[in-house]
Amino acid sequence: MALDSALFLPLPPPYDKLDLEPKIRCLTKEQTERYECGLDGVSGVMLPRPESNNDKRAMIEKFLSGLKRLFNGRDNWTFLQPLFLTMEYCAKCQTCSEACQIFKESGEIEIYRPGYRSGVLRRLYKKYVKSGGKILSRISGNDIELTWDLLARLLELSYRCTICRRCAQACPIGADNGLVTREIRKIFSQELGIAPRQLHELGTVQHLRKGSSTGMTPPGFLDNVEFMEDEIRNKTGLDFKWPIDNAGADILLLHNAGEYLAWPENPEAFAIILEAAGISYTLSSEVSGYDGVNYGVWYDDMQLARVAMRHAEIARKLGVKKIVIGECGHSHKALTIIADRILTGDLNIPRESSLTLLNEIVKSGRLRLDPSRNADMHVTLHDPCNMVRLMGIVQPQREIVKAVCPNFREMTPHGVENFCCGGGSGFAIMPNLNFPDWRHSVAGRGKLRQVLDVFQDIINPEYNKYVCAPCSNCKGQIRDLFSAYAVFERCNILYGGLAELIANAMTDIKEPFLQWEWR
Amino acid sequence: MPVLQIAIYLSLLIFVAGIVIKTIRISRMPIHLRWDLYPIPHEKGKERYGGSRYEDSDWWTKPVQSSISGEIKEIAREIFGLKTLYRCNRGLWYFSLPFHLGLYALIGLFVLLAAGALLILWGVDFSADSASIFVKLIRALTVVVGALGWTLGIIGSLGLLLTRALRRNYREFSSVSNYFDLLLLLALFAAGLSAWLSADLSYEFLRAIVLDLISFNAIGELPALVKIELALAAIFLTYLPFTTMTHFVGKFFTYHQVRWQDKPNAPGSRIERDVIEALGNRVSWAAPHISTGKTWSEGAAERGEPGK
Repeated sequence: MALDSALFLPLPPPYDKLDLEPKIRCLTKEQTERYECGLDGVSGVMLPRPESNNDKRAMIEKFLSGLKRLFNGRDNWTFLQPLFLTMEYCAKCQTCSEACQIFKESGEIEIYRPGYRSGVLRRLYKKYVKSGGKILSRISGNDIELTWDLLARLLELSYRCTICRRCAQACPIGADNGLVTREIRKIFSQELGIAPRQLHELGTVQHLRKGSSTGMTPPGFLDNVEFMEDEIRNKTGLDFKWPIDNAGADILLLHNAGEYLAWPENPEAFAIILEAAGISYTLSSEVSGYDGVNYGVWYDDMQLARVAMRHAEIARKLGVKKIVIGECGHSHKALTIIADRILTGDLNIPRESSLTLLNEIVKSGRLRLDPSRNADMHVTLHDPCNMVRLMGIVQPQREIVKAVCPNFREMTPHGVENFCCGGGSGFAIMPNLNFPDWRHSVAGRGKLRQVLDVFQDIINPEYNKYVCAPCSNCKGQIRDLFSAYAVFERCNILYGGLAELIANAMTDIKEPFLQWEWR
Repeated sequence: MPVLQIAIYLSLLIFVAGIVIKTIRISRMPIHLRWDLYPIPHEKGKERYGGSRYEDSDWWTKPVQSSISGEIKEIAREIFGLKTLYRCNRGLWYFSLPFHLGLYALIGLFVLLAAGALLILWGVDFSADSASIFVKLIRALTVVVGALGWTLGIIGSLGLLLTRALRRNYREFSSVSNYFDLLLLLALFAAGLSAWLSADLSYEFLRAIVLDLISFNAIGELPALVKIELALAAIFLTYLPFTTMTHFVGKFFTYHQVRWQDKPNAPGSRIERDVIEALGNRVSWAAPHISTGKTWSEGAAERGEPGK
């Protein structure tokens, strides 16, 4: 099947004309022969087609072995109970589909229903895991044939959901199709060793081995810090060294390392704010210590545990009182919530959101702030799913934006009912083949709609408009989404983090900290 | 003892045993990682917008502000108003609400019949001529609740059945069991209404049956429609524990043990002890990067060259 963008939900002006809709590229003949793309003509995982039937059979056998482990308390103690409940109690009421922005924005393509993906796993579970499954499946009409094509498409389908969990929020029974997405990915990763390269080899493995999922090594990190110290000096005249590996500091600050490379203005803003507020903190230059991401949260429990424990060990070694997580949604969720139970003993170091810390600083009056410095732009706030719906951090960022930006307006819906940026669960870092096209046109469509709607009365380029997205992953997605639709050029809508808005309001900095230019 | 009566006892036994076994099985599953979802209604002062303790600086130093009444209100809204369905799938709510209220009314009917039966057992005059206001109230409520139960149940189950059968969104994803469940309940509600209207307007028969069941006396002769009603109820109770209709059990766990389970880990806590035990399980996943054969603790501690 191939996707027809004419069937997607129409966007608000100025994108209500189809000729402004970016195309989802068709894969070449060579690509379609080489990689599995039978699901929807898109390849997110780049799964090579096996060369022989023996290879296909081997993969099927391994999948079955993994499926049984998924429903075994010793092998999947991490998520067995919530998964079991979802498998057993779905009423097929389709309420989850009503809440899923990917399903709705695609024009209701059936395979994108949250319940569709879970339904496939459910049939496999009932047939191959439950007692008497093979007979009962045939009697009940829920039989399913386990072929290589089905497995390959199921793997791809597990990368058509950002695990934003709007579906779970909407489910009247509490079933969680977002969790099912993750557990499907887990079978492939933990049993077959299959996952998108960007999540595994170039993600968690590189993070643990080299230092960062970006490939940045400790010396590279220190070079970047030096560069940012120079940038601050040149831009603002402020001259101070960033605290690195300072044992005994109150806080270990964990940024998403992507910030240092793609948006250095964000960690620079943090450095300026924390310096001015007199906060005792340190960064870490140890391997994994300068990158707060944890891609394992999307696809693999062992990698999740390894990265989380590594972060905690570094904090323990530094003797800090708490870990503060920078503007990165899944880092927040991974370290504060999901990994909370595996951080036992002295690894259980308190973890706090940078949004909370920044709000305390802004409210304390330690910074000299003038909101009129942000008056030349209209600001809206994007709610990162992992911080808001999945952690309940709703108000601090709003209090900050309202304090430093006179022209703030809310998107609809917002808060815990927000729409995902469309880049969650690893999507924003998967540049494979035509997957980014799908990510922009389908996964990110709901967010683009929200942004255009909230600024519709001032959509003309004469107005500066800023989408505050306090999450690296979301910024990556919004950057790519805005690029695909030329949003900055057509509508003059920029995106950026939260700390930058605070720094831009600081009267200690003579020149504007925020540069109104595409990044 | 009539076969029907034996069938009713068996069905009650299977129903109770089935629910208890399911509940025990789910509750004995190993401790899982946290997977909270907001709003959480016991977050006192923040439940209105879905906030959490993580909005507060140094949250771990502050006493937990928990509101049981918040949880109870939310549960009540879910049970009696199907709040989430109302918000997210209104079309379905129009039928699902009367369906569920019909079922609750049947439970209420059983309770009222049992109350009447016990009063009779204790020697109270429970006849229609009784001077007791309390007896008159129970008799009146029994009729009203029963009528509501049958009527709402029929409207709801018929509406849901037609929705599944006629709307493509539902039809394409419904299985045989989805239709069978609704047909069975529709038959039960219809049989109940028919029996009430034609043979048992004041529920004398049903109350007598409940009294006989409680006191292990053989039930007497019954009108055909009442027998059908009872047979369907027995079939339903026997069948129920093996279906997704036990989501009233599942929902307790999905809400209280998963999405609202936000208790932080603390040194020396029960959570920590259970997790340490789980971390001692040997890993059997087979991918190259997994430390197959080692414990989860050992595997998670590997750095640099994971899996090697």
